[in-house]
Amino acid sequence: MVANLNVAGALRAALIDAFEADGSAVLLGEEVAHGGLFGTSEGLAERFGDRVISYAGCEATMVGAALGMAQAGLRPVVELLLADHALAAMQQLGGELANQRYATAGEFSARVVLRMPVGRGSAGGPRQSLSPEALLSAIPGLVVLTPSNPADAYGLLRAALEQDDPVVICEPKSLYGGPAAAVDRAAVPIGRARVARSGRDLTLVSWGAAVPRAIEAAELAASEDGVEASVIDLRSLAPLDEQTLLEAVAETGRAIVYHEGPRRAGFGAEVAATIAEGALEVLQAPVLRLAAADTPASCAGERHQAPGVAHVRDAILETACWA
Amino acid sequence: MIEREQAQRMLRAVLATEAFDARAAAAFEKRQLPFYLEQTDRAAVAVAAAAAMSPADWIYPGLHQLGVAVWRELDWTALAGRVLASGADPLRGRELPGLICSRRERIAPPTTNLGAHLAHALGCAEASKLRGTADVVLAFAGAASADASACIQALRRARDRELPLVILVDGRAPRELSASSIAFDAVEIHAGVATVARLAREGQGPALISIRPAPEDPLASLERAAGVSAQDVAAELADDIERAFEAAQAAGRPDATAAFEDVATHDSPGLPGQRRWLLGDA
Repeated sequence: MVANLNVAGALRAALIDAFEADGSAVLLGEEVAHGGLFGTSEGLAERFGDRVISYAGCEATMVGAALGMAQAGLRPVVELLLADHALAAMQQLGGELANQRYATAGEFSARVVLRMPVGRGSAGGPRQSLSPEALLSAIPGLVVLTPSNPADAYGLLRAALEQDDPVVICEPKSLYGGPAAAVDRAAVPIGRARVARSGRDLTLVSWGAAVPRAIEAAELAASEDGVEASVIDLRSLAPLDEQTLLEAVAETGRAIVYHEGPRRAGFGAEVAATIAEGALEVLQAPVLRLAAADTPASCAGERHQAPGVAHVRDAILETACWA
Repeated sequence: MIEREQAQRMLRAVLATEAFDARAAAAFEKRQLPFYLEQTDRAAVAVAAAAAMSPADWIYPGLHQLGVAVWRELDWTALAGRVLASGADPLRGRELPGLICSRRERIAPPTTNLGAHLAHALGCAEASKLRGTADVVLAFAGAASADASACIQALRRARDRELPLVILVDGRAPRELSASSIAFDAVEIHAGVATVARLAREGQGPALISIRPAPEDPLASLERAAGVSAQDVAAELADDIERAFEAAQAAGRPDATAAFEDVATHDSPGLPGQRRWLLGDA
């Protein structure tokens, strides 16, 4: 059934549908019994009772407890208040959940979905604006996803809830309350990028909160400057859909990687390296990385710390003309 | 009072664990193993506590509770394979020697990160309560793990939710956790853990208990209850343990390519290339 939902509504719908389909699904989080910080679990406690479990305080204990629940046969979804809090749970996440199936040769698996609001966009300042996707993608055993629109928010969460391995969903908090769009309530395959816009002159690779801005910049460059950029929404960072990425770059010979988190050692570096390894012979220009400044986020100035649509448009023109 | 047959089985498990431990420690001393943590003469604690639980109860061992696996009758050749990381190792040589788990026997994977498994045990107990089962969760902790914030957090949470969790501290528990204590004696440990497990099963959990030193040999009362001497039983077991190690050794090395399997449902696209590079696969 198609519904018109924004990202927060799509995530909530995915939780409701998954909880109705699977009686072993449970939700843990600091504010989940009250709807969650961004409203993504609104009404779930009333609907699913004991399966929505408030966990105050210690993220490491909560994530570790989720693993124990999974070992006992439940399918926990952990909703962190903010991605920054994942740092407090990194030992459990990276040392325990990520290794569970591998280290036990399949005796046990960590069927845990960890949802975390990421990035800037709520004036959260230096302690509430983390984009940890590069950090998380570097841990073998973790699946790392990030939606950029309501349909993918729904579909990726449903797909995550069918996995036998821990899945982290980086939910851009600037998109939660974004525009509503049609959501057909279908799972989105993990490991498959989406061609969000076709174009012959340049490939713009993006994910999460940067995707809508990438599309807007590409539309602007097309209408104002006559440069047609394709936009690839990676959606799944680990595993990475290298095939779609490299095919897109092969068609244009030019690539820009654009993301919300800081540039240094960001996931854009992995994408750029993948393009260099797999498509060097077709490249007609250096791969450009557009990302946030390598500084902590600022409450008052976060808009100025990351490239906006105008910057992306300029970069498109620069890369398209590079000879 | 402990039944004679139960006491005999417990004594045999303790002595088998000790013999197993001695054999593994000797292999470590000869540098045949990269790592092994000895049981530090605490086999009686692991076996007696495990014996006090029902087979359906989950157990979360630490690094010194090989006796749990022996009590729950995991195959000895597989256990030896686990220590030697041989072809008989059910974990394919991936995990540190001596770390043992079994879903079938409800033994959860240990961790080398201090106290991390106590959070897992907490979640397991939460699952038991949510599902309305009568399963109790027993978690072992050393004094250092008990001092870690994971233990304090797990216990606080378990108390708030009245969860069926028993944490057994093999050593002195931090004073602020107000643990009850049991003497280092196999029969007393069995009785003490059985009591708190029963209470937890009846909804009066959780419990934190610690082991205090005792003047007598920890197996003396168990020998009396079993009606046999530890020396005699140990002599019977020695050959069986040696045979298990020989069989594990004869199984050769685990398949090296297995090290790359099961990393995640969706392997990294780069993995085939890495496999070729590291292993020379076609």
